[in-house]
Amino acid sequence: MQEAAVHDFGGDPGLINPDVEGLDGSFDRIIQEIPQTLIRAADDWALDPAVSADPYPLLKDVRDRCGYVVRGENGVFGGVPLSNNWGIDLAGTPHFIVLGVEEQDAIVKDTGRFRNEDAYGALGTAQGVAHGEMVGTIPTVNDGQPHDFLRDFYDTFLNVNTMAVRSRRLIGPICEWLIERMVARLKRGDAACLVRDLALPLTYKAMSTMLGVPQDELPTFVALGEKLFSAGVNVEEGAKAGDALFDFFYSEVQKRKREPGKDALTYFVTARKDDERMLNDAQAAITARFILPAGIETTWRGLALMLLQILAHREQYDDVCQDPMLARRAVEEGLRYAPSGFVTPRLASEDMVVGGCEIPEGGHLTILQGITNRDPRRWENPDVFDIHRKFKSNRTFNTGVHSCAGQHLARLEMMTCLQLFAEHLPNLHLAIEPERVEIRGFQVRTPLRIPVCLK
Amino acid sequence: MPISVEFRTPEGESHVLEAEPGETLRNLAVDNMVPGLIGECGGTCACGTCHVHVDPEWIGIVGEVEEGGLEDGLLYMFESKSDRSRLGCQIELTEDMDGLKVDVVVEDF
Repeated sequence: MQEAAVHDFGGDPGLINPDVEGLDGSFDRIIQEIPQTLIRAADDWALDPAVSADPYPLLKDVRDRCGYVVRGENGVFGGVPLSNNWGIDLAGTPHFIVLGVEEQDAIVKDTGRFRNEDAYGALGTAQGVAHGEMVGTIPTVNDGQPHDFLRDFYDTFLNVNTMAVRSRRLIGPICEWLIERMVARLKRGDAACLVRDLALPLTYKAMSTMLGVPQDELPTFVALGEKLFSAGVNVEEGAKAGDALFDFFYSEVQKRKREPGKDALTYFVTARKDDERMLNDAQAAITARFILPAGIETTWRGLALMLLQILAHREQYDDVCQDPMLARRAVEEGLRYAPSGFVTPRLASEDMVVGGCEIPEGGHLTILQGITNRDPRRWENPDVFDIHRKFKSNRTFNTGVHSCAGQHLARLEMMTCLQLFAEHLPNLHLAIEPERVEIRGFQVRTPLRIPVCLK
Repeated sequence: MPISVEFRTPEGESHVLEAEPGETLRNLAVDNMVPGLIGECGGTCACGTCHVHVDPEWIGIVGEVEEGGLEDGLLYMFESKSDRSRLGCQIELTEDMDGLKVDVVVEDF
């Protein structure tokens, strides 16, 4: 078991901004000003259009023909070209994709032989760098003791109990306000979209409130966060956005040191272990910068995808409306069937065999959890969305010590939102056929627009 | 001070273990290979494979599941859920749980 550092912390993460302010006309204007260009997939432009539109049948075919671990040649796997978001040298690095649950578990649980460090390539570097210098703070790109130290830090303010407080007092009120706003728009005859009018503003409002971002600067941070998140495909733009965000958060860190507040930034500068601050000023700023895209970009997309699937399977949405306790089932099936976060990288630190495939030392593996979640060895009829299926846990947030630290927040946002939909919007329908909703991207899958109506 | 926790399996076995306060019930069982308590997801309230029924005499100390929360939503998926159901990963052992008894619930996964 990891050392429990929780009781040594000076900060009190349970008290971080449990209440939400600013649910008024100013937030409405912020939502309206979010540029449509931000609602896109970060890597769509670099992808084969067929892969971006629907990778599932293509990769299912690769799995059936080539097995659960497949070696690529110059980024092509079993005839399917995939994006190289990690910025790895395809010609000089043996590279593989992983398509099965057993193989995924074997890899992510063996942290000694499958490393995170350097596996995220340019994306990981961009997130950990400030003004050209590496400041080691991101748990995703660390292994061993440095990772465990950071993970303790994250788990303390992202654990189930503190998240439960926020779901009641932060996420719920934001969601209710957005639902009311959306219904008002629809009753006026205006269009409403689950991406723009619900998922995106909900996650930005929730996470920025937790962090302590000034609310009138939300649109700016949406744009900068998106560019940083896309650093793997546009390193220069990502670095610029990263520096701008770092400068902002570094300045906020200085303010919190002088005048502590009730936000995560205050926790970042006050958390202590063994009488020392866990993070210095630069690390605190980088942590805030990391959380912005990590806690928002995948979550709003995942929430929107889950809502799309449940509404596309109307009778199952009706079931949830009849019994809101089914919301967790629906969330888990949404996470399994159509996750936003589609990929996880690792580097092999020695020669080995996984899934019958020889992996040499230095080999780069991309686990496709979007596909492992449809492993026919684990789920019957895996390509069917069915909230009533026999429950088996999915792999969207991965397992092991590197499983997503923010998964409780993501789940609670999804569950809270769906329960409120069931209560307030039993007559909500998709305004177009589900097949016409465009979903794009590979690293993170993104629905571009989900128009809805009341019937 | 270490405390004592008893796991009872559906096969009628009894496993009495020593634990340090602060440890989770799930980690205690998994680290000591208590049969049937798998803890597949690693303790993130995501899989339901550390489901236990807390002994009636101890549920008041451990506490019932919070209604409508993540743990409740997950337990709701299982027919074996009872008003004494908890997930081991969500029970952090405390000194006043010395002598705690739980029944391991084996789901057909």
